[in-house]
Amino acid sequence: MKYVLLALIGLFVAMYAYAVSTIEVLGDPDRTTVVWATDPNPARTKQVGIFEELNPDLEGLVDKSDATKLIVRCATGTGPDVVDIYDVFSLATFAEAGILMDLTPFADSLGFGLDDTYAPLREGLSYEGKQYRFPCNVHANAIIYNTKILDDHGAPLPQPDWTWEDFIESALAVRNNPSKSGEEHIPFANWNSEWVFRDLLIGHGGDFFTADGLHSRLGEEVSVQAIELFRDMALKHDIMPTSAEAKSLSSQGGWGSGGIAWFFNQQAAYIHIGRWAIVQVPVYLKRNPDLVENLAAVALPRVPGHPSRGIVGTRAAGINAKTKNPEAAKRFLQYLASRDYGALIAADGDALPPNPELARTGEDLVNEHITDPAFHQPFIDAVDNGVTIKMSPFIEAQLVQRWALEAVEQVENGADPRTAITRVADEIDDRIRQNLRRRSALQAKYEQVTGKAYNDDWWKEKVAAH
Amino acid sequence: MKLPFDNTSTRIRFVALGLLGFMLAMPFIWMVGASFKSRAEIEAGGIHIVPEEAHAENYPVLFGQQPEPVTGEKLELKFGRWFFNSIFIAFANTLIQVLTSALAAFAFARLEWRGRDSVFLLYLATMMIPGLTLMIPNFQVMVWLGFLNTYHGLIIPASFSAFGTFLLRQFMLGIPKAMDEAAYIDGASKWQTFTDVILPLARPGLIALALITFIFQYQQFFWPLIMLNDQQFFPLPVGLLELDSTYGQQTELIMAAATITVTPLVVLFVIFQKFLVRGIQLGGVKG
Amino acid sequence: MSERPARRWDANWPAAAVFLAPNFIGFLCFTLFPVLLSFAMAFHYWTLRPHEKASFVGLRNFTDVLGVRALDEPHYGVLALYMLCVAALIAGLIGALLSNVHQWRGTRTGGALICLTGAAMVFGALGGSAEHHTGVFAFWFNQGTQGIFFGGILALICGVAIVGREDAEWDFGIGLGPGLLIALAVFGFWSLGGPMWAAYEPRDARFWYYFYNTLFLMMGLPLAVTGALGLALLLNHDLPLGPWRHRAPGALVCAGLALLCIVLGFGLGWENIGLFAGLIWLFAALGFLFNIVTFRTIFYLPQFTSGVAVYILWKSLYRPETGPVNMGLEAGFNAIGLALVPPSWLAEIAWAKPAILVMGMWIFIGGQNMLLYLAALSNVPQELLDASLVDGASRWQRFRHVTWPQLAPTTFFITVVSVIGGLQGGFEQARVMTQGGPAGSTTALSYYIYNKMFQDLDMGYAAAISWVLFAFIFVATALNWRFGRDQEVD
Repeated sequence: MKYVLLALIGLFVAMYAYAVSTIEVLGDPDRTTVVWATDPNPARTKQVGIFEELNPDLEGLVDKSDATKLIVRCATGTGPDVVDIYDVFSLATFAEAGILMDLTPFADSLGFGLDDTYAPLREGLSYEGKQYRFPCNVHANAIIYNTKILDDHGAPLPQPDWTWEDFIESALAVRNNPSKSGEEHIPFANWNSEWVFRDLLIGHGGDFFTADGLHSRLGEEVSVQAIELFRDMALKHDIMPTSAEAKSLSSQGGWGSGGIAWFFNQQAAYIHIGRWAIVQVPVYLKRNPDLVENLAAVALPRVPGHPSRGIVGTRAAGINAKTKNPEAAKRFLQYLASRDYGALIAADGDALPPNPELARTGEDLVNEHITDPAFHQPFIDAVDNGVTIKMSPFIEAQLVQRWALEAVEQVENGADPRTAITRVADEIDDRIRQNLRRRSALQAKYEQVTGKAYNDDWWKEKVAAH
Repeated sequence: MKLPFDNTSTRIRFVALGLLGFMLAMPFIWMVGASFKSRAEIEAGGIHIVPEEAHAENYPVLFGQQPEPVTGEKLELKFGRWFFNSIFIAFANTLIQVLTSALAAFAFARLEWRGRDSVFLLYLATMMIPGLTLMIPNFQVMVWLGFLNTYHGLIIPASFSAFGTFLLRQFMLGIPKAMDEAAYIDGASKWQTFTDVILPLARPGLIALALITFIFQYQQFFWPLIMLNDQQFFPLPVGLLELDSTYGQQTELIMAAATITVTPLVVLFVIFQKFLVRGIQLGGVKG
Repeated sequence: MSERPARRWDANWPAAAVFLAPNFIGFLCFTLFPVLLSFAMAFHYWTLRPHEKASFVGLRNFTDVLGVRALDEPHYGVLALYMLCVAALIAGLIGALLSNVHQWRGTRTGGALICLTGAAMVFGALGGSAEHHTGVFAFWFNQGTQGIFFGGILALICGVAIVGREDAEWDFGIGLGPGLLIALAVFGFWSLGGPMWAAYEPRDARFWYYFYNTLFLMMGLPLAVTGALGLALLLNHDLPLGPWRHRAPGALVCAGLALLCIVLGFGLGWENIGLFAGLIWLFAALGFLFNIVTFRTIFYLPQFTSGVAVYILWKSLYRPETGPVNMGLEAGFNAIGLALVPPSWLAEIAWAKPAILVMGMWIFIGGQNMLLYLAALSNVPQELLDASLVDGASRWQRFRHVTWPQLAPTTFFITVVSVIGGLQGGFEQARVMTQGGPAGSTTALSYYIYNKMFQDLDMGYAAAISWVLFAFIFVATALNWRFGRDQEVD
């Protein structure tokens, strides 16, 4: 028995030694490393490669681990140096959590300030007046469609100034008309219901919050109309699969899947997406040699009485407040603002480059796969006409995003849209009130924003005023 | 030939057992079958158990030896490392837990000292606390100690368990005191009594505890999930999740990974059945 | 108690300390200290955010979890009455348990009351939902009515179980109290429900929804327990297959049949049917060879291997269009001629939880419960069984009056342990299979705690929820200790 025990302990020591000795400490000891937390898109390797060429003393490492744990990692000091922030919700959450470095003091002088990128995007890069991130790419959604499928079903092609009714009409034709080739197609490959809903909201003239951030606008009539349109497309007209169906249907896999795969496999007629989708094209060309000829893009349909408008968003990089290499991180952001990086983005098709001068017209964005400038132009227009959603400092952005997603999922599952969205609006308002009651910092902010002294019944005046 | 099924109830039992066994085993068989299918077969639909051709290449793909079929690149996920991690962490936890529990159980079962029963009561009381309640503050402790994202964070906190002490104490109480006294008469010290008398007699309990602990630690998901960020430290459950999030559409890969994860457990069970069964029946159930 | 050991074994502090030290230090650092820390956290606003300090907030976390908030003006009367009903319900439940264990007079009548209450709840749920939707099963989609329906079924089952005790009398006595309390409480909820929820709202409505999710997932418990019992009964005695001489030919025959089925299947093109049939014969052959051990192994494997791998396996099984479950169902429906489309299980709010529930039953029907029952069955004194045979009892009567009472301690133990496990569980399924499910419908309390910790970074609140959970678990454990002891027969 003693020998068994000794053998086991010996085995343990051996395993421990092996485990510890084979721990990979990423990075070259001779160079300063910049760890960049981003998505697992294979293009990152090339982007980092050029960064290293331009900065030989620096090394870039891509960290693809789970984005949901980023806050905890940064807060506990084990986070990356540069962090990709995908939307304004995350920006607000990260900024509130105190894990981002404020870029305002040096951003302009170093070349990645607010003026160095698209005008509509500016508010989306800042939170509470401070800039926290700079774009890696800029996207606004347009509609890409497959001319062959539309022709196959005799569906009307989109016109530049079209409305949602035109869109639905065309999609219904794809669903109902028999196709000449005998194949069936999905009218509208919805790959992200949240984004569809948000663009609908903005397109109707709605938003998440009032300008002062004290009240949610999700309960307004335009908001209800937006979500009702969404419900109609998913359930009444049945032109768009629900997000759950999208996630669970089998697909080709690879980077991006579900709705994107259907569309690029020429199984769907329309998709609502940004220019970054065309990064996929080479992968699908193998199976669909005629893919590029059949693709065309057009601006989002508009709501009657409103111009075509959607959200201009960005995957933007911020710097971890607790980074050990602040200078190296800043140089990375400078690289993002540079022409070398921008040219790479434009050529790859990874949405729009951060530098507006590299994307003035469709000509600038022509790349090796899609050579028609008219394809790229709608995306530039979408960015120029886009709007960023603003978060309120009085409520946790995570909750807003989560609750809105729940409402969308409930509506997809048959709940009444008006009830679902007004309930979210009420919950948000409740939460704002609760936060104001509890946190004196927010009360000070209230006074700053409204110019009035804070009291616990402030919201009753508001309700009366509505 | 005389068939033994002359008894209706036996026939019914046999059929019932056969059907039930079949239903319970089906998902596993499907899993193994799916792991040998090709990409196209998976897309067509999964009702066929036996693949048309055995595509064993899913396994090398998993371990990064061959490029995976869709993107044509090798997997960057370190599946082999995950496997090693699972075994290593479970083994380390089991070793430390069994040793410390055996020592402590001896102190509770055989030595008499003031406060013994109160301290034991304290152990029992904390056994009632659900694991979830403990993991939250333990995470904070790990943050303070700087053990996040390390092997130490996975091994050290999990190695101490009141359950092990409880189980082994039960075993040791069952060993007749006459053995101890014989040793005492022969001039043995307490340590010698422990190693030469008690431990060998408690061997079934030790093995049962070791098995139960190993299996439990091997299956641990929540704790490594919150502790680890870096892929190279992942044990298999967390690694499987990571694999699923990136390659989730490629069912054949995922099923191959699941098969590999499940196999050690099946092997352990088949070999050590008797010990496990007895251990569970004696010690009640662990978590 | 043996006589005082010799002096050498006394005053063993130094020795005890040496033996105990490694374990105790670990215990202090990683069990005792965290318990105290968690308790402290629950009373603080404790967060991981770098710039914010923890601050003492007293009971605020707990009231936020459990409390209600006035929507407009407080209606204290309604609130007080409602709370009274809650207290009555709790008292009634505890009382029902006590009265059953101690066999108070009037227990059976009380059971009848509980039956009536349960029936009322069931019909109320079905009828209430009919107002809003068409069809009896439209209630499925309204999770609130679902809860009332299942609660009613549970009450019905418990009531029938109590009423079914033939050895009790139909009289009036103190045992009537619990049944009366429960009936009154349910009536109170029904009548006060309107005014209460017009004036108040729960502070954390999601907590209650996720609590319901957790309870829903535990619904498979009775089935798993009875299933385990059934399996144990089936496996209790080796099949009388005779010695090797008889078994070997039987095994060979079955193996031959298995091979035949597979070959025929592949040859004729019906691979699946051939394979299925072949597998059944293969199991038969194994059964001949190893008898019960084969089946015991197979039945134990699902729970033994359950973990992330198994959940991912089931996630693939449940895939809407290409997963075996739906393809099998569709094939089955087509064969019968029904034009039904099976639902998208994990993707639909109404079906995600039942899907996970079915998986849970597959996991727990064998496993440890079955093993515990096997052990208990082997401990049933043979004399009692023989005596009942002599008395001329039928198989069913023998089971009901001899075996079942002997199994009571095991049943109790299994129930309590399953309840404790079920209350804490559901995290892995939620995280791996559905990420909390469409619109939060598969989020169990443990997943909610995880979200609070890692996404909202609100550790104090997460700790408070886990202590509320602990309160329930404590009740279950206390009951186990109290009544488990009483019921031990050996």
